[in-house]
Amino acid sequence: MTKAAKRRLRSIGRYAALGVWLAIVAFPLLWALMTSFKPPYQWFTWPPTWIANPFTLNNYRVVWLGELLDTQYVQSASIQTPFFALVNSIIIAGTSTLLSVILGVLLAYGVSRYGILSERSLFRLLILRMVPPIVVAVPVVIYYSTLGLSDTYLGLIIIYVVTTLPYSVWMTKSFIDEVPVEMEQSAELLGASRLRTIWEVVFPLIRSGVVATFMFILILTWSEYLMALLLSATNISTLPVQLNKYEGSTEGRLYGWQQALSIGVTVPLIVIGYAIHKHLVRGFSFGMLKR
Amino acid sequence: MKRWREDRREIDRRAFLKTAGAVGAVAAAQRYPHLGVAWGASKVSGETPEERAINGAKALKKKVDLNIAIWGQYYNGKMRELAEEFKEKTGIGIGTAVDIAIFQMPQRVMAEAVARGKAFDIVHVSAAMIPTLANAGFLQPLNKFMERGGMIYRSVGPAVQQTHYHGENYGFVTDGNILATALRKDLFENPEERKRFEDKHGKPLKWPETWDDYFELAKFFTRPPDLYGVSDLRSRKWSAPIWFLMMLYANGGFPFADDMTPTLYNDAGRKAMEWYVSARPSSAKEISIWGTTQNIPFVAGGGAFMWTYWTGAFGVANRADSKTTGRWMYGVVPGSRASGRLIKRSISEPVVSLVINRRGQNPEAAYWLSQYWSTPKHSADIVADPKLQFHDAWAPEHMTDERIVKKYTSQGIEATEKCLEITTPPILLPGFLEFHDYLDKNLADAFVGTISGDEALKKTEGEWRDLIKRVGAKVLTKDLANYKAAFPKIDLPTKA
Amino acid sequence: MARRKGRRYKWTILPMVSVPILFLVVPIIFFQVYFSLHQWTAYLGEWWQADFVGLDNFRDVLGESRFYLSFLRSLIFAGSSTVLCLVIGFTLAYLMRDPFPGRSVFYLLFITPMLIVPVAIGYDFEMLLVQKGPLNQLLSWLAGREIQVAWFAEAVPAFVSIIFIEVWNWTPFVFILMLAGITSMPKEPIEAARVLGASPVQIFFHVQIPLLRPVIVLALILRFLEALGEYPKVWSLTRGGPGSYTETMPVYLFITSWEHFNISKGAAMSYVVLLVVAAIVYLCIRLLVREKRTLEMLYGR
Repeated sequence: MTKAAKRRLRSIGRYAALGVWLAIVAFPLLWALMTSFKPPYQWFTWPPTWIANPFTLNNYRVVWLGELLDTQYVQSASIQTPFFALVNSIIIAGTSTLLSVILGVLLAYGVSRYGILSERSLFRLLILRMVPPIVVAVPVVIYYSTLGLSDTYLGLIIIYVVTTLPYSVWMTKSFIDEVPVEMEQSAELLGASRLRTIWEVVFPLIRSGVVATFMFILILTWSEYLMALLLSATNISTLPVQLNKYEGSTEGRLYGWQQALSIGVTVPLIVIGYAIHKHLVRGFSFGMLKR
Repeated sequence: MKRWREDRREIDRRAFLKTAGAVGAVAAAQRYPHLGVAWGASKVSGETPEERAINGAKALKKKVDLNIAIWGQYYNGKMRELAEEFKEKTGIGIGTAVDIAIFQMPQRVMAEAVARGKAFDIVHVSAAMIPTLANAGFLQPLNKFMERGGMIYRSVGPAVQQTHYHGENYGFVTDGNILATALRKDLFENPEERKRFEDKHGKPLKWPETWDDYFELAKFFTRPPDLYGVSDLRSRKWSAPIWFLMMLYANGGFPFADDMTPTLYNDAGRKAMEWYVSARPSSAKEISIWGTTQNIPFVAGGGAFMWTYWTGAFGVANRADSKTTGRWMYGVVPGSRASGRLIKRSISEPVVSLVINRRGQNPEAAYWLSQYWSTPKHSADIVADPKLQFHDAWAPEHMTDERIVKKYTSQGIEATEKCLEITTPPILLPGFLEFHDYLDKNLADAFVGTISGDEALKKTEGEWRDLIKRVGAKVLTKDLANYKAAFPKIDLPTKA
Repeated sequence: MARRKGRRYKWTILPMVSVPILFLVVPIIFFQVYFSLHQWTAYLGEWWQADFVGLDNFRDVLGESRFYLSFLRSLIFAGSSTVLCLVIGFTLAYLMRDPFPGRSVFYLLFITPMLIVPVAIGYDFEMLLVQKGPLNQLLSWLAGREIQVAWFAEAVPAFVSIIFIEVWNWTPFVFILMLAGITSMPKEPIEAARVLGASPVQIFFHVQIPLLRPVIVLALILRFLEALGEYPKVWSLTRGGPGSYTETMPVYLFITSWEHFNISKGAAMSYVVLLVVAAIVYLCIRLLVREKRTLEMLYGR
């Protein structure tokens, strides 16, 4: 076999193998997307309805705009519109992720350059992430209610920052480790302050890593459900909490509406993920790789 | 714990004084369902309970906007309209309605109770949670308000007893969630089927009077993969225990002895368990995992011959666009002759009710709005709402309301009424969720065959014993009276 | 001079970080210790009135087969899903190490599952895995004969389903890690081995894999730990059923704390779980640290 033929064979083989996993990944995604456009009587059929016909935007209108369509199918839309929850989610997830990353970078810098935390403390920080939130929810609820932090943005943000800090410290530390100290020394000689050095010298070099950290933590805070449910009442509500409303009914399954909401909940993350996907490649190395 | 025990003593003392009066009134209301006007003189003026609710609210000096935790699928129709009406007339209305499904409501409201929160003024939750929430100190007692407002609050049969705890009423039912039996008329009346059944069993095909008949029918009509005999829920966290309890009660059984010793592993329990598990060969395989949301389209699409289910679902299966529309026949649930005579028992769960947070902004204002929603006239409006299907009928007025009869079909409403007369509660004790979870898990394990039915009963008894020790047998024995008060006093529905 | 600067930095930054952590973590630890040593059920009296019971809760938890079984299920679930994530993620990354037309399209689609909210994934697969559903229909069409697996209604298929969904959800995480590792591998050792006449297979197993070992171990640890705590997908799909076949540790923990409202037992359980998980983390970290030192030795810093 010629070299060119061998190469082509290898190429076909690669496409085939990748194609298999691509199909596995795409199948549920396409199904979810298609279902969000199906009219109610096609949500649960045998044989399954593969193509939505007629293609309808009603599910999105019911769920996102609160219209009372398909009234024969009776189950009406949410009381608090998802837009309220969307704004809340953006504020809470966005703020906590930003704070977590900023604090993480500053702390990681200190650990990397000055060793302000021992290795042991670093690992203990990781253990913070290993406690199931299910059990600590009760103490948090009690503690927060005494402090008046229930149903507030600040309360939820504090929880998210503290629980994601381990990841942001660990991830950014590995990037900072890779920046040679010498580069900062030249800035110091020129009289720059510590903070300025970090911002103007170190940060540009670790920017992609920081972006990746931001993305990963955003996913975690955006999807968090239990604490958001228990600590939200009238003032705040996040999207995962809204999503759980469609769990069941005396009616048949509200698949179309569920998917319309799910897709809306996921789209912001996908947009951000795609925008920064190049940086994600560099992201998850945790100090193990040599460039 | 000591302080709590003192509180309990106070609850019990008040209960004793009230019970004497309450038992009398409830017994009278049950025997004469057309009465049921709250005892005592109405202190608020008004000809109807709606008017009285309005006048009561108007008299309050501070106007508030109340916050309610309720599922959108209950609220977003007539209830919301009525709340807006109420606001116009009295200045008191709903500020924020927080949309939480009933599946997450116990967790959410418990978190509020534990945190002594004031976020919600009214909560819409299963009445079976009322003993638990009352003990947690969350609930506002309503009797004195009901007296002043001249509230009329009664159900066909003992269903409203579920919102009472030690003589005090703590909530208003909006959704009766009663179980009745439905089967496919087209198959049932088909002459070929009838002949085949008679040839096989030596007796005519007729409506199942006992659970033996029921499962015999189910077996006969099981023809996989197109048709299964029966489709009652058997999966975790989908109220599966209520099917078991229904059969246990019909056998003359009861989960506890008077000293709170669990009494599941006896003839009544074992027979009920046998029946429970016998559904398996006659059900679709996935019944062990399905929730109502998969089951209803399955049955409506013609997958099963018969089911014992919430009456609201019957309406869905009978809708114009359903494959089996017009082919259903409704009736009373089967019973049992195990106790020597025929006893039929249905069950109401979750009886979703409006309860009031005693730490809310203004419990009295919350009360007047709740009364406005729950009067016979308005509760009928809510049940009859063409846009929503969740609120199931429960009150005498619902049975004769034209719109409701149209929604349920006249045979359906008749079945509902009869089943309501003989309905029972789930385990109406503090710790209800825990009692149910142990039973639920062991039933599920027995159903899929991990353990035997006998083992399941014994295991449940053991786990209940530990729970009873933790809560305190003395406390629970007192609450047993409350649990039993929600039972019917008759064996069979009165109208034959 | 550097040390002084270091100290100044330390005392500027540490308070900034410590304050929120201590504000939240210390009281919670206090509560958890208190709960685990007292008997408090949420609806029976106030928490400060609870009776002291010493180590009874721990004794209850450690003597309960339901707890052990749920933990065992979690270990199997986490272990198998992690290994599968690793194998698939590595294969994908290896196949994509060199640029080829369409590479970014594949890349973008491969990372999408990680971006979807877990509960939404649960709902989606619920639709797909119904016995008379799309997946079975697709499989029947592919296999040419009738396939009607009851994915959720039987023990093994249900367990396999939840593992598969976890793998579907989180393979992107491992994939990204592996791709980063593979694309940044130093070329010298590989070149050297090739010059010495090693076959591609030998190069793969004796040069490339050892170089990647640290990343692999890291991915394994992180994925395993997160999978141990996975709750929303399992709960929304099976709630521990059929029977108890998919009742994993987080599911049982949820039931204990939020259905039984047995806060004390939940606290004790969380400590037992924390201890076991911390032990696993510690062992793996020791492994990791060893790998890190090896790398540093080989390539200098």
